[in-house]
Amino acid sequence: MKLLLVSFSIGCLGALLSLVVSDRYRITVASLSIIAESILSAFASLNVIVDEKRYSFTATQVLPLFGIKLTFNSVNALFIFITSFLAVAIGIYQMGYGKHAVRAKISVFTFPIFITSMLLIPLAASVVTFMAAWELMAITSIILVLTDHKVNNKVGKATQWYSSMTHLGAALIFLGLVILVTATGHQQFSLIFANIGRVGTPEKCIAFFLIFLGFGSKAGIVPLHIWLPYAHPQAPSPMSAMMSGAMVNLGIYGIIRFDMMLLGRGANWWWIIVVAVGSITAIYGSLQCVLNSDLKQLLAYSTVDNVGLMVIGVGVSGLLISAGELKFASLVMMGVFFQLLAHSIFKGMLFLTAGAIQYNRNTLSIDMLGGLLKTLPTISICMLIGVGSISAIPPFSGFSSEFVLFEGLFQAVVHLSGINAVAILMGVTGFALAGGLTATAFIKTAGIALLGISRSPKNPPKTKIPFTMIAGTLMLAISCVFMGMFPNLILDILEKSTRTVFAKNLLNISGSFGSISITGMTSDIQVLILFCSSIIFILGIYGISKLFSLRKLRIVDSWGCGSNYSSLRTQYTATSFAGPLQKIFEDIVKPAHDIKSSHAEESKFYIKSVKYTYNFQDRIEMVIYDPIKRLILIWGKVTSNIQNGSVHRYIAFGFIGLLAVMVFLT
Amino acid sequence: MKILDSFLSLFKAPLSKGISRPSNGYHFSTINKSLTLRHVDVGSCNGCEIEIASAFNPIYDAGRFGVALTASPRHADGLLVTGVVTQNMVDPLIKTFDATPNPKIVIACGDCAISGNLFKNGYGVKGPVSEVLNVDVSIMGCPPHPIDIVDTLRAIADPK
Repeated sequence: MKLLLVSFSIGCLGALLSLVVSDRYRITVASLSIIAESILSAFASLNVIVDEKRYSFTATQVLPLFGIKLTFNSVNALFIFITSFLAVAIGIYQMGYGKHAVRAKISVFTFPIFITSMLLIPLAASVVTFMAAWELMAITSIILVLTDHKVNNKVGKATQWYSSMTHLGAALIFLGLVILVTATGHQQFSLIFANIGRVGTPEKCIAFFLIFLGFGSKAGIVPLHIWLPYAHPQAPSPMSAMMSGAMVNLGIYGIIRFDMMLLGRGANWWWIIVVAVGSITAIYGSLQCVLNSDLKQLLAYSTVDNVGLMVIGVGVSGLLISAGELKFASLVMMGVFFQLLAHSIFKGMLFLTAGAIQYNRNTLSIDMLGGLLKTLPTISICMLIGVGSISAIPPFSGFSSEFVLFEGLFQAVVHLSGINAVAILMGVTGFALAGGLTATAFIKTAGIALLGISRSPKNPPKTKIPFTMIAGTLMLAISCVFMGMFPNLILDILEKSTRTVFAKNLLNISGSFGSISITGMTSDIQVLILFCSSIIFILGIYGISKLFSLRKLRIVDSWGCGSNYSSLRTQYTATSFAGPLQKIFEDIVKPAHDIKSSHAEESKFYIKSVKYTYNFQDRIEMVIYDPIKRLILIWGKVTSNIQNGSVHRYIAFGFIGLLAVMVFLT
Repeated sequence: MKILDSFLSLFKAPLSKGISRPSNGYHFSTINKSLTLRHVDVGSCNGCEIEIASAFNPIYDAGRFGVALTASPRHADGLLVTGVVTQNMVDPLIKTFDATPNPKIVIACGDCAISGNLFKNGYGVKGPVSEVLNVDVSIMGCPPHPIDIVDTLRAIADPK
């Protein structure tokens, strides 16, 4: 606990120091403080998880009236560990990246504070502490999104979306918690939990859904996901990696901490709705991910998709708890934790690779990239590992985590009946469909960006990527492979966190190197053997095709009707890859096409130029948010008639108000 | 079968020297009652084109023997070249040849394609098709009669 507090103070000190030092050293100081802070907190949290310790800390004088109350147990230690582990790599990465790419002084200052606030949130043990830390995170992350506001005109819109959504979420969470606080009369979580019987059922339901929506808006459940694809691409890469890898986790943390652990055993229809929302989120996110061709936006949508998977997991776990099947509930919960850990690391890494690509090529549009495997070999291999993880391919982390989660879901289907089983089947179906779509999306990303040749000769690659950027990315890539190869070690740790959620020892993990085996699961899975056999299979097919092929490979130009015309842009692009799927799902995602042609001055029969625009818009934004925006504008217009800025009128209002008060008082 | 003999003799005979001469790798056994050709006009007077069009019309109907013309060399079994090769068409002809999958057949249709006819040493003329590519089969005539075209294509499509 002390170690953790020391680490926080290092973070804040580093932030302050970065304001003082000269421009040259600013980013190094900030990054070093992030690294030191997160290494310390990672050790502290790992220690707590492994030894299953429990600490608490109270500082009455810090916040007025209520003071700060923190607890440190193996559930929130897991979240702290994930955040701090990611932050170590991002700190290393930022040393190289920030020197050229992060222009604003204030974001360099804010970043360590943002990380500190994210480490603080899971620790909070009372409503006031929690909301204070939550708001600190919200405000600092808004500043980070605003970093590039001078050069990029999209930042303004992104920030508007993000700040309104994040405050809407915070308001919902606050309302939900206030209901609990007023019903129980306590603001400390442990006391709320002890007196949860005093809360009536309707209040409980309202609190549940307010909290679910509030945290869901941070996690990015559909339809509250709208800010993710705006805000994540606009922040500089280390910051967006942190937002997508760690901040989103806190949304899931909130759902687990408050909806599951605080409210206790709930009604099953709550969790059925959660599963339904989760599967819609997963499918919608992965679908948008397939169709998008902006690298960072695509990754943001893939975060939505992964959040959907986790929400399905949390929902099924809750359903199992309400049915009393605690053993399988904890299996699913362990899957959710594993998915959280795996997702943070591979998504963080993918954002870092996206940053490196942007640094090198100055563009993020996949349609403009190509041939990165040759120009950026290390970054490309990291990206391939990330893509393998996210598409759940055997030796990488995503496979192991999704396997455990899937196993848990299947167990849930077997052990539940009636509407519960149907709900879980729906979740499983959503999970499977989302998995397939995600794989397609990332085959597209890797295939188009890494292979072929560059599609934009106008953007020549910059000279070199700094060593620290590669080192940070590589660290995450190695841990992705490690988590996939040694899932048992990870599961051992996660099992301890799960035990704390359920306050019971329910699972038994055995097995060794490269395999997953949990008692209660139908089968063991040998990740390493699966990997080796798939490699042998691929090599075998390659060998056989080499052995029996009589034809020699002939390399000729692509067919251009005999003419000499050929362009780099005639390569297959990300948009064309997604074309068939876009046709299939046209009713759900409808990109706007527009062809504009301008004529020559002499005659309108001569065409000077043809401009084709392909505008990709989120359907949910158009259907749900645009009317709301219009309503708000109308409301603003109406109220501006009353409040038109005239001092005379305001004095008149004051007079009328005073009169009214006097009339009412008498 | 006179024509078949004539082209077989051409196939065996050593060909006159030209620029790059890639091997066509063509075997008669590879085609069985289905022959798809890409027509390349490398400098024809359009006489041959009219006769080729007639060969595929309802009267002569080469299609009933499994012969078809295609728009893309990627789908073709070979090239049906008409006209004397002009300088500007050397490159496109080679590109079309390259774009056709192996094994492939090159058919020179009409006297200009076979020998250059009266354009032989003309301005901007490279020469007959055999200067550029290995010619497997020739169809004589200026222009060749549709019956001759159909007969030759049929003989290739169904050598039995």
